[in-house]
Amino acid sequence: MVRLLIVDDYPQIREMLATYFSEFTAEFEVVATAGNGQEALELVRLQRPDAVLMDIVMPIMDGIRATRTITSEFPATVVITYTSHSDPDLCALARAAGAAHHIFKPFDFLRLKEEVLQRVRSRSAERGSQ
Amino acid sequence: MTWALWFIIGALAGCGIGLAAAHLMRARVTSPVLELDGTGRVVRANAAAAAVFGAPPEELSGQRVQVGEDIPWSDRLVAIAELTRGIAHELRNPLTALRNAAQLGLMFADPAKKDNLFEEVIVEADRLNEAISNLTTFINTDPGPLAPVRLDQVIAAVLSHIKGILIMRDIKVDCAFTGGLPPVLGHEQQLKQAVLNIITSSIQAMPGGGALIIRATYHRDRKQLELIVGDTGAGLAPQTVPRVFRPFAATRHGSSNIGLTIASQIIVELHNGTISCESTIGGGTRIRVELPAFDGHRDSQS
Repeated sequence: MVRLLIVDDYPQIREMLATYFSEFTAEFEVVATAGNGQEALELVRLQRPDAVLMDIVMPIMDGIRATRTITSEFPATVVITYTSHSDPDLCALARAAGAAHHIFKPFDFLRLKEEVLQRVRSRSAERGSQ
Repeated sequence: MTWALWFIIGALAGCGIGLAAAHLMRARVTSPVLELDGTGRVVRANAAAAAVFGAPPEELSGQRVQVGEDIPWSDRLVAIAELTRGIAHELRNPLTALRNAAQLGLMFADPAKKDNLFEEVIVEADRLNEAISNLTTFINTDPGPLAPVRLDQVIAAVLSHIKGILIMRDIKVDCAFTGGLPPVLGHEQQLKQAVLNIITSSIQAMPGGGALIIRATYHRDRKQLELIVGDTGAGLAPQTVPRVFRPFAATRHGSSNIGLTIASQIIVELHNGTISCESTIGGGTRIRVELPAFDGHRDSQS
């Protein structure tokens, strides 16, 4: 079971992502949701999720800063960022901050699930082989 | 101008709101850029800047420059790309929520849950519509009637519009309002455009990130609102400072700086204000705007 944290400042997107992953996937357990990067950081330290789905444009602390801190404190945690900006610069910035993958909104739930699973599996394979 | 239209159509279709919306918006979206063609508007550089900063008067007074004819293609593309990026951001959150609600609605078997999600689809469609309406205030070229405008709200709207760019460029915002800002009598969308252009110019001065410093103050003694937008960029050479409001000044990164020219037109010609620039090499650049306060009883422009 993949323990998942969902981070988005748009409440409807956050809640629907949580509903999808908890009610329509067998592989995921949603451990918490957060509305900004600062909350996400606190919840990661508390809950130690396997994966984080992280929006980038958020108040208080943006997703790039939060990703940078999470991936340096918890290298095993897979952070997947997403944003409404179809901008390659933002994608590169997210990858440089340690994101395993970056997705553009709007997303399809089924494809999103596959993307997250794929990154979580390849991260555990990497760590298993070390 | 076919290229510009197809650029916008492509971008909006990419947003997923369909060709109908693209058709609705393309005229408005392209108009601020296309409007620069052949308008031949006259820019008067602000002589007050000379008084404030002691620049040589011949550099600042009586400058008359034509805006329009020779704006490079690359600059028009950059202007449209920036606008499109902002639009994409504003529309994609409600669009994502709308798509997610529809997809979840297909997954749930329970009719009550399906109904809730149908309602969510309507709510998000309304939000999308509201977002499109808000955007048109940025890009509508008709200034409309003069009305009291709150400068703090203008600044907040602009900062909200560019929050993605601020993150992308690693720029922190330090914004403070002092003196209980009264409104100014003006055109809200034009003032938004001017503030957006000034802030965009500051952002462009900080390619490696930095701090955007915004101060809005009411000077009760002279009934003026002062807005200072500062950056922590490299600063400008002394000979460049008097030229920043002229088009094609090429002050930074080879940009032709049309944004500040348009901002100065809006502030000086449409709002009876002043705009000036102060910069030192290594000390960043500050753009200072002064606008007459609206006292609520008589036209402050009279």
